[in-house]
Amino acid sequence: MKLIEGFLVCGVTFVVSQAFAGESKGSTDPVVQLGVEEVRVNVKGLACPFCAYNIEKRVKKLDGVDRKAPFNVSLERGVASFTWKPSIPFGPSVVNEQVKKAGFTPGTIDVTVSGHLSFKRSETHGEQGQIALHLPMTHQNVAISASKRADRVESYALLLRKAKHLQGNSMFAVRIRATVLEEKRSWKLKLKRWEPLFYGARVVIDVETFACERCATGVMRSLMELEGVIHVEADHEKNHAVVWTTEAKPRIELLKKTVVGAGFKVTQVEVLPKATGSQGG
Amino acid sequence: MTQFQNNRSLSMAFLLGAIGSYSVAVGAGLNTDVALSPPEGGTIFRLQWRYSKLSNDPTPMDRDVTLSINPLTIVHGLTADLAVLGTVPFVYREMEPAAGAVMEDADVGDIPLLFKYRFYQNDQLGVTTRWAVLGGVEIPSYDEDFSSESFDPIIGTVWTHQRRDWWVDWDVVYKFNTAGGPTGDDVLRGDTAASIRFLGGESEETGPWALYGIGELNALYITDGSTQMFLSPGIQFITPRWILEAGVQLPVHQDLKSSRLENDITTILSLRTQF
Repeated sequence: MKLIEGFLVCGVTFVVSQAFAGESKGSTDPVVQLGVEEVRVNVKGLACPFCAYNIEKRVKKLDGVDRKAPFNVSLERGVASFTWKPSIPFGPSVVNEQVKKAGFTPGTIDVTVSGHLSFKRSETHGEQGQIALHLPMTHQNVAISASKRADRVESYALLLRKAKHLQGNSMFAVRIRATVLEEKRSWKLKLKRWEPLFYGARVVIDVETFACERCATGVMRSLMELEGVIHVEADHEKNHAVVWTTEAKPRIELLKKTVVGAGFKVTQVEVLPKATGSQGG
Repeated sequence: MTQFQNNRSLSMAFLLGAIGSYSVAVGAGLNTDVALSPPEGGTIFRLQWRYSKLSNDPTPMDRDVTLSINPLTIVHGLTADLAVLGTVPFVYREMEPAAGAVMEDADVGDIPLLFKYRFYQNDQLGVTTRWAVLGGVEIPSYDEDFSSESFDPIIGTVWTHQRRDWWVDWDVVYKFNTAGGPTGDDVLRGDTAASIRFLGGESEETGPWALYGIGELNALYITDGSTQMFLSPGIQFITPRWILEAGVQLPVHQDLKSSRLENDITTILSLRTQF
């Protein structure tokens, strides 16, 4: 097993190094800037279209907001979403302050953030350890915690397993979707989803039906045991599993066999092209 | 009563009918105020066209009057909870007595300058309830027809409950007329407004938008004993930067003293924008 993980780490490191090497050779792929990418603020009290502009006006005053990118306000969801410049340090308090100045009450903040995964054993967290995300452009280290929802618990467990096997290699880049938990002088992330930033291919496996969430997480575990698999997400509502692999040409038959072996009928398999750049993955 | 006093009374009649002009800038209503203010540092401009017919002159002059009032209102958010608002009413009046030539006047009416402080706010997802107090003064323009020629304090309160699909608001405003004499009556105004969203949507290009139907009940009491009540139906098209609204104000009750003329109907067209 350790051998498999060793290969995995080496494989990912190779993919990452190739990705960066490609950039240095003048590749047309856009440069991946690791940091906070998208911010979604839940705004309470937002009830009319004319009020939507108040949020935009105030939040756009922040240096970190990319004013060239779209700024969306959804009344239906009570959410303001915008792009954050990865080079500017992010903090939930500055966003909340602007929401208050706009005349509304800030709710939770969700972010999409990419960075280097790291793992630290500590007395506080015991053998379980603590995983964190290093944002190289702003030199921030953000702790990642688990959610209580079953699928997110599984997703966190996979990330933790990945982090534990890094063995000091800090070049494993991931993109995380998380809720921001504000603390006194800092903030941390409550994981919702994650995905590797660099990979060989992504495979979508449709199954006839996942009867329940537990069935989906069972398939996740089985697929994660395979060599060359970096990450798996299984959605019991959409009845599919998504597999990220180190190989550009993944072994489809092995993936199918694993899902069938877990007790589910595969209806379709689709290999998605390798994503590149900041929108990758 | 002198012609001068008649003119003053007439102006008061118009101003009472249009008293909402100073309180409309920050509200979602046609004639009433609500507790939604601009953000800190934000500014709202509102230009209204109010076209009114007045008649039933109790004096021997038996005048029919047409008024066109264009109040320009500016509201600025000093903080999230405190806003300052001022209205400059540009007035054009055409008066047609039973005998004699038609008289025309155009000038600026008194300028209310108000501060509004929101002292209560309860926000939930897609729902807000707010309560604010108003205070300020009406600055005289010293126009001989359209001014009380006195600094008149104004106080009031406004409460609103707003949801994505509907909202209601309610306000009471009292103006102390310090001019004294036959035209120096105080004015109490109360408004109740309700609105329902007929159509709405949102896209990444335009942001959210909505078409609302609105109904208001506007009531006035003047300390000379006059009372008026109006029903104001209308529509509003709202986007994040603009509000276009149209409606009419129909009298449902009028008992006027001091040679005041009755309002027949007022047509309202309004444009709001914010920066």
